[in-house]
Parts: sequence; C-alpha cells; structure tokens
Amino acid sequence: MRDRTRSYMVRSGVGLLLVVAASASWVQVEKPAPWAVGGNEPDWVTSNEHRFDELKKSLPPSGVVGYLSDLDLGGNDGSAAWYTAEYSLVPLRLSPECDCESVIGNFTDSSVAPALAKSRGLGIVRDFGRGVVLLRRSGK
Amino acid sequence: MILLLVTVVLPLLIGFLLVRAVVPGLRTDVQVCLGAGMGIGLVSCCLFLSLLTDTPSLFFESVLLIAFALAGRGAVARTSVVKRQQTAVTQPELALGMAFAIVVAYSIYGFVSNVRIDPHGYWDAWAIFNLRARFLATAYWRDTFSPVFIWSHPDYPLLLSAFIARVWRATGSRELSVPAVTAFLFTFATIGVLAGSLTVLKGRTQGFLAGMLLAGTPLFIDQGTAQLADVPLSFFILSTLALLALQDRFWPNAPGLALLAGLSAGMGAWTKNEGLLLVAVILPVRTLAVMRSLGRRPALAQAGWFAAGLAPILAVVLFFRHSFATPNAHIGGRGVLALMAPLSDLNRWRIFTGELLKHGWSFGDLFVSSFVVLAIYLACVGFHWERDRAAVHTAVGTLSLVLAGYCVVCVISPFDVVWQSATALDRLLVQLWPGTLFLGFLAARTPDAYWGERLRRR
Repeated sequence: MRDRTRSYMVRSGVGLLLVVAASASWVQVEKPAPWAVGGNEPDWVTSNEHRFDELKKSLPPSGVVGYLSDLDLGGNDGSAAWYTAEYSLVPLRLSPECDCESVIGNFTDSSVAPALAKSRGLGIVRDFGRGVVLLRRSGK
Repeated sequence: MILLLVTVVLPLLIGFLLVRAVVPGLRTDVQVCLGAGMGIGLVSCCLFLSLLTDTPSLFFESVLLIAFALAGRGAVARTSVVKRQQTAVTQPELALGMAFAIVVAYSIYGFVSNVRIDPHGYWDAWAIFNLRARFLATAYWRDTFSPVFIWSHPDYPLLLSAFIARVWRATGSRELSVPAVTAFLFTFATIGVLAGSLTVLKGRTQGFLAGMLLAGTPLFIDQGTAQLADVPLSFFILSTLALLALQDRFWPNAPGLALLAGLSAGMGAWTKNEGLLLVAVILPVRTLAVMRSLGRRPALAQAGWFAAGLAPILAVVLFFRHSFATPNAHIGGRGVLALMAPLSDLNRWRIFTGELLKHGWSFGDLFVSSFVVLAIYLACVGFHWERDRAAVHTAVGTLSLVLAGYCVVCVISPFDVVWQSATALDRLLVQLWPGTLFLGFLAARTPDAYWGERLRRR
C-alpha cells in the first residue's frame, strides 16, 4: 500500500515536470519564427546606429566630443538616445558637460537644433538629417 | 566566417583540454560543456593580459593550449578512467531523454527567435557589456574606464566583454553574432553541465529531468538571449558546485577537481561582482562540509587546491579592481555607517522581502513558479543524499549565503528598494537557479530507483 502511494507520488512529480516542460516549449513555439523576424526592418539599436554613419566620417578617431540633445538625459528617451549615440560612436567618448570644440547634436527633430545650439554658443557645421547634427563652438 | 569560427572554437578547445587534463575520467559531454565556459573565461583573461602587456593574445592562448594538451596526454595515460557504471538504457530513461531533447530544441528555437528580435541583446547588454567590448577591441581600450562612463558601470568585471573583444580583434570587425553566440554557448553549456553532472552522479533520469526543468524555464532562456552576465555567472556557480560534488563521489583525494572548482569560482568573480560573494562564501563553507564528512586533513588539502585554482583568476580580478574599476554603485565610496544605516531600516527589509517573495512566486515566466515546481517534485519523490552529504551541505550553505548576501546588498543599496528589486531580482534568482536545481536533484531520491524495482519485478 505504501509502495503504491509512493509510486503515485513519484509518477505525479515526474508528470508535473513533463507538463511544465511542455508548457515551456509552448512558450517558445509561440515566439515568431526566427526566419520571419525583421525582414528588411532593422531593430531600433541598429537603426539608430545607421543615423550616425555619415557623421562618423567627420569626427576624430578617438577622444572626447561634446553631446547636445533636446531630450532630458535623466529621462528614459534622453538616456536611450545618449546610450545609442555612444554605442554607435565608440571609441569616441561623448560628454554632455565637456567644453569641447566639436559637439554632436542628437535631436528628435533637426529643426530644433539652431535655437538650441545658439543658446549654448554653438554653430551648426553640418546637418546629417534624422536629427543628427555636427556643431562647433563659436569663437574657437 | 571561417576566421570567426576558428576564433570561437579555439577557446572551446582550450577549455576542453583543460578539463580533460584535470578530469580525464569524466564523460566527454560534461567535459565539453564545462570546457566551453572555462575556455571563454581563460581567453578573456588572456586578452586582458595582452592589453596590459601589449603582447598578442594568441601568444597566451597558444601557451595554454599546448600546456593543457601536454598535461592531458600525461593525465589520460596515467589515470585509469573512472566512469559511472554503464547500464542499458531503460524505457523510462529513453522517453525522458527524448522529452529533454525536445525541450532543448524548442529552447534553441526560442533563443534564436529572441536574438533575431534583439540582435544587440537587452539594454544593459549593449549599453554595458557590448559597449565595453567595442572599446576593448580598439587601441583606445583604456577609455572605457573613463569617468564619462560612470553610468556604464566601469567596475563590472570583463569576462564577457573581453571575450567578445578578443573575437572582434581577431576578425577585425564587430559582428553582432559574437555576443549572441557567446550567450548561446553559456546558456546551453549550463544546461549541459547540469544534465551531464547529474547523470554521472545520480543517473540518467535525474540528469534528464533536471536539464528539462532548466531548459523549460523560459526566463532562463530569455536571460540567456539578453546577452547579460547573469547566465554566465550561473554557469560558474553551477560548475563549481558540480565539480565539488564529483570530487566527493569519485575522486575525493585527487587535487584536480578542487583546483578546477576554484578556477570556476574565480571565473564567477571575473564575470560579475556578485561572483565575489561566491568566492567569499564557498571556501569556508566547503572546508567545513568536508571537515564534517572526511575530517580535518582532507578538508585542508582540498581547501588548498581550491585556493590554488582560484588564485590566478582572483589576482586578475583584484588587479582589475585596483587599477581600472570605479567604485561599485551599490556599496562603493560609502562609509561603514552609511552602509549599516539601511540595514536597520525595517521598512526597507519589509518591502524587499515582499518583492523577493513576489519574484520567487512568479519566477520562470510560466503558469507556476519554477521554484514551486521544484519544491512539489522534491516533496513527491523524497530525498536520498547520504552518499553526497558534503556536496549537499556545500551547495546549501553556498547558495543560502550568496542569496543572503544579495538581499543585504539590495537593502543597503542607495537606490529605491522597489526599483532595485524590480530591475535586479529576477536576474539574481536566475544566477542561482541552475545551482538550486543541481542541489535539488542531487538531494532527491531518483525516480528510477522505484521504476527499476518495478521493472525487475516485471
């Protein structure tokens, strides 16, 4: 009798693991098929990287450059914009605080760049589109 | 593509040869899985040394490769291979083996799908680990420790970043596949070490069931694809515990396994700061456990070999912390009083305990918590751990103390405790999950003890 109870318990335990494993497999199966993901649309990090492709050619290979944005760096959007810019421009270091001659403008919209740049004593060197602008400190 | 393949395979070969040299009698699949993580860790150390000394990383790697190959030849020649007695595969074992293979196959499918959606990994992966790897892959690698990057945790150890940078340096490009392949290797090598070591210690049924439960934890797979350092750390915690258990059972007086376990614990500290907790805890816990079961002399001998394995990696970690790392965001740069004050804040403890229970209760991303599933399973099958007393004591003590350490750090952290818990607890539990499964299945009575009885009666 005791043996039979143990038998049921052991089978129940193993059965539970099988049910859990089956349901975990179902979670994986429900994910989009790998070959159907993305297509021609890159993920947002890659897409952000591409925004800086042209700008890279106008920057020094390393060192510190300034960073200016219309987004609050303390907020989620602002920090995401900053992180992706830094990630894209390695080995350059982007510093919002530095008094550097070259400054990268990373804006949600390029139209806000002139006013913001002027307020910081910066002039626009080139607008690369999609909110990416190269700025230079006036008077330097 | 071929160059990429070679640069990824070389570390795996180094790791495999190391494990084969130290434990020639172990099953090849376990050697391969253990070797994957060890090799990646060793090669990341080689890159760090190469950056410091301006010597090609390949030089250090070649030295390791040749040394381990020669040591392996000698070891295999003079050691009688000790393997678990091979028995014919029973029907239940065959069925469970197939179920395990199916779950792993679906996990691989889910893993690849996640990688296709987030090829750069989760936010912290590209903003911390892959960002650092990009720097380490350039001549301006020291700039990654600049104060400008204080938000990017320059105190995080370099195992992942340095390995990825090593491959990028060799191939001369920044293929996105490298962090993803590294994540894949750690995720599935962890499953392999769990299933393989339990198969050796407790039989195929336990190995398959434990591996199935780990592969069947969607959160573990998702954290693997995240390309963060939590799954790699879980690999080293598990490997350390598994190696010590194998030592107790098969080679109690051989130094190799304790040496390798020490190396594995050191790699944990080279992976993430939490690994330092493992290092701090495991040596005294292990020494006490062996002292109780085997006596003082073997315990001290094992502790010595463990420390010998740990020392070189710990030296690298300490040098990194001393020379490059900034103070830790949770505990660094604060006086003892500032650290102690939150410890007596009962409200922080109350909130944190609630969050811990909540995350434990929903852990795994399934209809029921994976911890609850393990607890029910153990209640159903019962325990049988007499043969592995020291290993079970080691695992219980280590995992409990590491968890307690995590709790203390979360509570004394200067950040909001709810935010801290929401962002960290799942990952911290993932770090301990494979080790917990190893402990559970090591201590559990194996179902095939019962099935074997029934089959014999038939």
